[in-house]
Amino acid sequence: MKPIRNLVAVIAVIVIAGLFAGCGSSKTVSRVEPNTTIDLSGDWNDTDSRLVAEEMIKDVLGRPWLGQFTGAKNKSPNVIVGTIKNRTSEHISAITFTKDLERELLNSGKVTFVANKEERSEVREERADQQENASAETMKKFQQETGADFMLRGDISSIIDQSGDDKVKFYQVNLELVNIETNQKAWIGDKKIKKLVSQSGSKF
Amino acid sequence: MSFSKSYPGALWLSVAALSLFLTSCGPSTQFYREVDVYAAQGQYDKAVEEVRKNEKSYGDKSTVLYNLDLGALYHYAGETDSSNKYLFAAEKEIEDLYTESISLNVLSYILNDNVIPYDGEDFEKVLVNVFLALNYASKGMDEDALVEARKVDLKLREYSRQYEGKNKYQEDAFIRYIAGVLYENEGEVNDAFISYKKSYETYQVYEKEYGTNAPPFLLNDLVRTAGSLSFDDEVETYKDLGGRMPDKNTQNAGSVVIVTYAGKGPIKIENRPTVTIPDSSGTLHTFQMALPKFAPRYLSGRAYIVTAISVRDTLTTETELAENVNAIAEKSLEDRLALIYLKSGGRALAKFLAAEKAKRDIKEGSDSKLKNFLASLAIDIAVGVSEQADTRTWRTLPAEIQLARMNLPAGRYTLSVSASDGGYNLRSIEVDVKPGKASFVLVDDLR
Repeated sequence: MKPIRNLVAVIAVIVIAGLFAGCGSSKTVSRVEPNTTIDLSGDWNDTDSRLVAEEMIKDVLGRPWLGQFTGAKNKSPNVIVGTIKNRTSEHISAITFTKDLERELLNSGKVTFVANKEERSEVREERADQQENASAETMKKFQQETGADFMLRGDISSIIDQSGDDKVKFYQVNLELVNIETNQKAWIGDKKIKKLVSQSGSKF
Repeated sequence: MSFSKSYPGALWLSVAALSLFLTSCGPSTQFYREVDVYAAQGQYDKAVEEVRKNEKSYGDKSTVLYNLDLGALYHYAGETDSSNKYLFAAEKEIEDLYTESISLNVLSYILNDNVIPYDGEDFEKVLVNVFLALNYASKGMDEDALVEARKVDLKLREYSRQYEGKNKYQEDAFIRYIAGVLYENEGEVNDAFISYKKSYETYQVYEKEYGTNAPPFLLNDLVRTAGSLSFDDEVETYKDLGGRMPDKNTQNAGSVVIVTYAGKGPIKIENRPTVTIPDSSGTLHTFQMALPKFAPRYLSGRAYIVTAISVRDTLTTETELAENVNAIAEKSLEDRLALIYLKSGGRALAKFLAAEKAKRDIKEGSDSKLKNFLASLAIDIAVGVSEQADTRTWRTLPAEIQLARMNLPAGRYTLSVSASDGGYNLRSIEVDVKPGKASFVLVDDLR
């Protein structure tokens, strides 16, 4: 009676496998350098944010508008980072990306930098508070803020092409630098990232 | 003489025992009655407590449902952060479950689908993102809400690909409409127009498949957005269909979009169709299959009156059916069973054939009539007991989503929503209408 004996074996294997399939793996933690590239889900991550910010700021600072402005005004331009719109199908942390951009801009030493809208209002509150509570020598004056010359703004969009186990993710970051006085665009740049994400349709 | 030779029935008896053991791991539905009652009364804190208390009843194969239930209940309660947390957890789990366990699938073939982790019906997976989108929209976080709307688009495209375009639920008209409102809020009129247009087109499919017509105000939205884009042909097209241009004096107007959840969502019940097939010798065999089937728990007919009162005036409108979850659930499940499940042969058939073969083998090898009879009986019991439909469902969904849009002059309003049956006042909310912006108000009535 071979068929039944075979069936017994098959069922036994499946049942045992089924019982083990539910077991989770134990957790391990290891520390890595913050600039290490680790791709887990294939989503937009810190590495993308950092690399895009570095490359795009390098690009914007290497363009003629900077020399033209410094030549004409005899000072380095004041830049502010405006809104970076998220047009992707992921919740991208705009704060991280904006901070990456701000850091790269400021550390270049080629531009000066003003605080953004939210930061400004917090600083203004502090200044208002100083008028009542700080000593006369240390109290800061109103209406001495530096106005920005340029605003850096843009968006992140994505196209996702999916077929079964494979997914191609394509991100494009568009940034533009707008002259606040004239509304002229001084620079437009983009950076593209393409990723292939594969998830197996089956496991044992 | 081997074990299986002397006691072939024992093998099948063990299958029966195992199936009893394993199916008992499926979620118990006892405590759900309490959850339903609390949800119907709007006592979501108590409903949440009941779900939490019974986390173990869900079992390790239905943790997705635990997260979905909590996500939905917190959503109705207006606790968007908690709702997001559980809905994201469910979404992540569902994504991971894309990788199916071969061993569990084979086991499900022998027993039933309750041994496989539940990863949701397609429409349930889509509604996760619909709820997330509305969580963000109700907090004015339009950009994040749009991320969720785009996720719906990706998911639906992928499902249509899996069904080779033969499924009915290929687009979601409701989320397209919500995306239109959100794009308009963001000042992206072109994207808004495209979303409204897609929504309108999908409502033509909705009408055919689910009997849901496009809400009349959608045509006004199409005319308005087409107008501001100077798409003159489109303005005429949608005007001919009944759309109206907004009045000149309402240019300072904003709007309120009222999303109402009406009625308890559908549940799955077991359906046992009888199937007759011939075997290789031409003898006909009749056996029962166990298939899940959606049963509604709420019959449509409830409408809601929305009244907006400001210092200047009082305006009234009525909600329109925008998403018939009952109907979408029913058709999606039918599609899945017909296009995927039964196509693969069907578990009941495979089990039936295996049982018949085993019975024949017993007859050939057995010497005692009693033993023969007992063995066959054991096989029938094993087949019957183990054949069970997978009736797991996201039970805290509403039966319908209704929609109203009020265009109002900017200012502060007291908005009240009452149901047509009984005039029970569900909500009285203060809303600030900002010029050119739409605010979202969510209303729950899960009676």
